[in-house]
Amino acid sequence: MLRVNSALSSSEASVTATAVPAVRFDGASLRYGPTTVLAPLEFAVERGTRVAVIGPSGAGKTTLLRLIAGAAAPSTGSVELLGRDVASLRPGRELARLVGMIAQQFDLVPNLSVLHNVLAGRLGEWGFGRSLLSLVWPSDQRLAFDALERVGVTHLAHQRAARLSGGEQQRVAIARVLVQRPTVVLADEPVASLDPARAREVVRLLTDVTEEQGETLVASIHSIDLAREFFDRIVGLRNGVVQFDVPAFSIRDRMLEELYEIEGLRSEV
Amino acid sequence: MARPRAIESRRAITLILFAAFALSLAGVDWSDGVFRPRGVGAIADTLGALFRPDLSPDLLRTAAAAAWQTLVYAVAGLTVALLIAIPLGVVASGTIARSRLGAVTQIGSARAVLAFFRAIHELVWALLLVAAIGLSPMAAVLALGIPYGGILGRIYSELLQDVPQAPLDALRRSGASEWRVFLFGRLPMALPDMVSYTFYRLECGIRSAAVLGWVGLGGLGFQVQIALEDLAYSRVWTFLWVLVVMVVLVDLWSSQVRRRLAP
Repeated sequence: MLRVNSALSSSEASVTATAVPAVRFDGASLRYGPTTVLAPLEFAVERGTRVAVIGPSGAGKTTLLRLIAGAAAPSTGSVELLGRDVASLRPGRELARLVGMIAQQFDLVPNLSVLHNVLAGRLGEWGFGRSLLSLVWPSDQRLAFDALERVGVTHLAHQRAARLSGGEQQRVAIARVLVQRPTVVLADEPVASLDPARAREVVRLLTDVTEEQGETLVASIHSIDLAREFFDRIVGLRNGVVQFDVPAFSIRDRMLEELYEIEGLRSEV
Repeated sequence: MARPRAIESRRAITLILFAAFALSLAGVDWSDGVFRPRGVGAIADTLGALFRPDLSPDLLRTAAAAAWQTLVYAVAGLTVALLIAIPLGVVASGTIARSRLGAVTQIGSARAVLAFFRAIHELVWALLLVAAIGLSPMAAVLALGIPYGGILGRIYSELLQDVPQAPLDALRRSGASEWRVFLFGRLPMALPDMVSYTFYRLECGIRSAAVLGWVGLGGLGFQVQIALEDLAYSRVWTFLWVLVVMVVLVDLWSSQVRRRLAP
């Protein structure tokens, strides 16, 4: 086990004692029957930071994100968003104001226009009548176009989402989270289906726009290079256990080798 | 090696069905001929007139008027069907329920009503409604609309259930309630199939509306009936060709619309 929580302890010292972390795991774990997907975890993310979660497939990265999103309930302990227990938040508007999510792909409604897909990020705020009306005369268009401009796809506003390439779709998904304006943005393998060049652009965009809006970003990602380049902090997860949690600049090849090591091959390494 | 039981029993059933078919052939009285006297001649006459429809201006005017009436019945009937199918189909999909129990209740009750509507054939509805309302266009429109509403509602409910879940989950995560998930996710995703099936039903509706002539409600079916009574096969085919043309036109229209709706 490497210097667990070293980044946390060093950064906490620089923040005032009253600052509430954006995300906090208080001994939260997740088990399905006898299988431990995520071991009890103590973990906090300050507001406005960008955290990359890396690790081999099945390490529990998605589970970690799902616990933050309130999509899964912890078996033990609790998860807090801005000091509030996620389990106590009502699904819908209340949760949507605190946390938003970008998935790997297949996340947009294919037969709706890009503009409508982006405006879907406002659905938590709109009443029923306004939502219905917006299918014909979209409300909050200014907001949606601002978001599309920031992700660089304004020209696609009236295209159907199904006609877009994978990279364009992820940009639209980012624009949707931008209009939702949650405190914490989660991204589950946001660039897994893109080629390296496009993946880099999308990750750059994701980290830039969340930084501009002062949002906190927690993303699971396969590319260590992208994690190093664009994130403040890297958490290594293996078999549901945090192997390391360090500032991005201080990650070492040795940590990565141990993180991705295939079981049974350990002796040969 | 032992064959799986399912295959064994399927073979047994196939064998029994063939045996039943062979036995039933023995039950036919072949000595007297299968067709009634001059029946073969009637078939020959009917088919002979297929490519010799009566195209006199008077008859074409009658055909056009009858076709218009049939089309009006079909379109008005389908409108009634939509008024039944859209609300009941949405409820029967159970997708706007707030709880599991609510969903089960909604699906169960709405499906029961839809099943009742479509279990009774449009001709039977027509007979019932003619008895109640009389020989009025209202009877024809309702006779079509009620069973078609039952069929469309059932299909709509299934199409609304079977949409990809990932985009819906994304909408829920952005804070949308089930109604809003329905408006911005389910409905747009199910709509192309719903429209396409509705057009197919319009096609069926034109055929059904034509048949309503037999219970005295006018239209192409009524004209065909009169022509048949006169044994005027070339007139019969005039009306049937008009029916074919109408169905083909609706088909062309529907493929146009479908192309525009395709994602």
